Amino acid sequence: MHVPESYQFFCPVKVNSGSKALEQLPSELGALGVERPLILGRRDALRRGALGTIITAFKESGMAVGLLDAVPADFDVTVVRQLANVYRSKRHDAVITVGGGSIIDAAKVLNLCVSEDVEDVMPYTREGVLKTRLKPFVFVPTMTGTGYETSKYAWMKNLTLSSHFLMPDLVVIDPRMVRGGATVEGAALAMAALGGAADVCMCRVKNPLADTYAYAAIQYVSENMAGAMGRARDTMSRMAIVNAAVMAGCALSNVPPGPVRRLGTIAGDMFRIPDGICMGLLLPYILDYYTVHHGYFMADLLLPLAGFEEYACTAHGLRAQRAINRVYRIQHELFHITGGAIPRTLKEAQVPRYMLQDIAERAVMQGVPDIGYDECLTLLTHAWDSSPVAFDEKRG
Amino acid sequence: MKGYREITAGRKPFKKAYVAVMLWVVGRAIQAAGRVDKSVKAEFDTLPDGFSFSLGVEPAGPYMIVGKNAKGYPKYGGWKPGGTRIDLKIRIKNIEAAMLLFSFRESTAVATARNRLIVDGDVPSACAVIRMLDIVEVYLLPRMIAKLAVKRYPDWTPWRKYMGRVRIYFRALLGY
Repeated sequence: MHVPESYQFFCPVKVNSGSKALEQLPSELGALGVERPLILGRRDALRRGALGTIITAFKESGMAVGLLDAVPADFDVTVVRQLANVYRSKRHDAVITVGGGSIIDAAKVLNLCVSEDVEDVMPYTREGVLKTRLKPFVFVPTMTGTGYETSKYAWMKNLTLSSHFLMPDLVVIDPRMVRGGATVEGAALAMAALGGAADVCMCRVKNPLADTYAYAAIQYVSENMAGAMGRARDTMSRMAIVNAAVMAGCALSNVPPGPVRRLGTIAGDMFRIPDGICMGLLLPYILDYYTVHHGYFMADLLLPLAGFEEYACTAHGLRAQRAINRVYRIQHELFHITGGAIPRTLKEAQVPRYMLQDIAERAVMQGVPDIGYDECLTLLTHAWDSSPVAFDEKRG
Repeated sequence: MKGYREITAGRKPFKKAYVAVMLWVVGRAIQAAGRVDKSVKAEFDTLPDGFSFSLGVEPAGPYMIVGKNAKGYPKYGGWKPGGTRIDLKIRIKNIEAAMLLFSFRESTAVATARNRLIVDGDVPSACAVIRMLDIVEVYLLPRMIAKLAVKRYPDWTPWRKYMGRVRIYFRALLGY
């Protein structure tokens, strides 16, 4: 096993997952000294009755809660200022966010503003500026999200904030909140979790604790993808996918950004495709490329992806390729389960071939570990026309 | 801001009433079982003199208080903890967790494992109380339901089980 020379790992996130987990929220908030929490959500993005379930969980608690269910998806400084005004004027002392995506970024920025008592968050774009814990922050995930919800990152327009103190104090995963939702959104969340966790595992400066989170996330996605996305929409499988996304987010906060996240986010933003879908379709090609050219830690991925038996039955030299084949299989399964709604290649995702250069340029500008522009373009070309990297290299 | 509203947490009166009735029955049944069943008495003998415990739901009840009387028998002390010295408080975190427990969808052991209970006091005493509760549940409930509520269903003689059940129900209803 890889032993790093030195590493740091920090995860302040408490996870409360399981049946009736929401009903424990008032006592958990009480332990954090909270009396008047503010619930943020987007009614249009949530399953009907989801916010009602949370409100019902507060019955018998004696707490007064504020509910804001019309937070705009595309928020800016003005929206955060309005949220902060509500928070302060109504004397709230904690934020509870329901559902993933942009709303959690809004909640993280809001929590920073009200905790530090500032209006301008520009100084906090540098890591290390934030030095103290913020006010209590709770996240209630649903089957939508980017996989970054529990991470240390928050985005607002072109600003990226990064601090471990932005991570939620408590994540409550309740089966009633993961039901419903569109298949594409669920698949995007699962693939974002898988892609993010794979990034952690193949990172050159990874650490054993982040690995533990990432391995569990990969295993959960690998074992539960079919159950969660299939016709049965098994609740336990969906819980596993949401848990995987939470774990991947925590792990991602402890390693530098990897190629799957970087390329997936850029392609997703450019072509209005959910980031997770882009990460999912790029993942096997990136793994393939890094195996051929760099090779580090890829063999280890087979264990969480395929389980002990297949790992033990596979010779060390073949494990990396088997792991990649597993990811291809997950991708194809997802394609068939969703009746072709989830693309397998950039071509199927309607990304024009001539735009690959733009994606590569942007990726190189933002920094992708160990690869330059040409390598990035080669990789994207493989992901566009679905040609395996290893096959191409041997042929070349 | 548009879309903001303030909500005062409501109540769950029916669930609260159901749990209150269950706690009342269990409390009186512990008192009765202490006089009927030797193993309940033996468990109670391990507790210190004057010991009392409460089992209740956070944050505002209902509660059940049981104490050890001068003769060493369990005595049901009502449902109001105020003014009573309580050595051991077993608190169920919320009314939904109490419903899971008292509708026998979760056993005490599973509820503890799922972090639904808070014990405030001596842990060995809490274990003794939980063992007593398990015995009482075996007496009170039919086998099919009791198997869901206890960790292991005991292998008792029919005489002990059925005669004990009749006597405990009788004593619990009359309150002696």
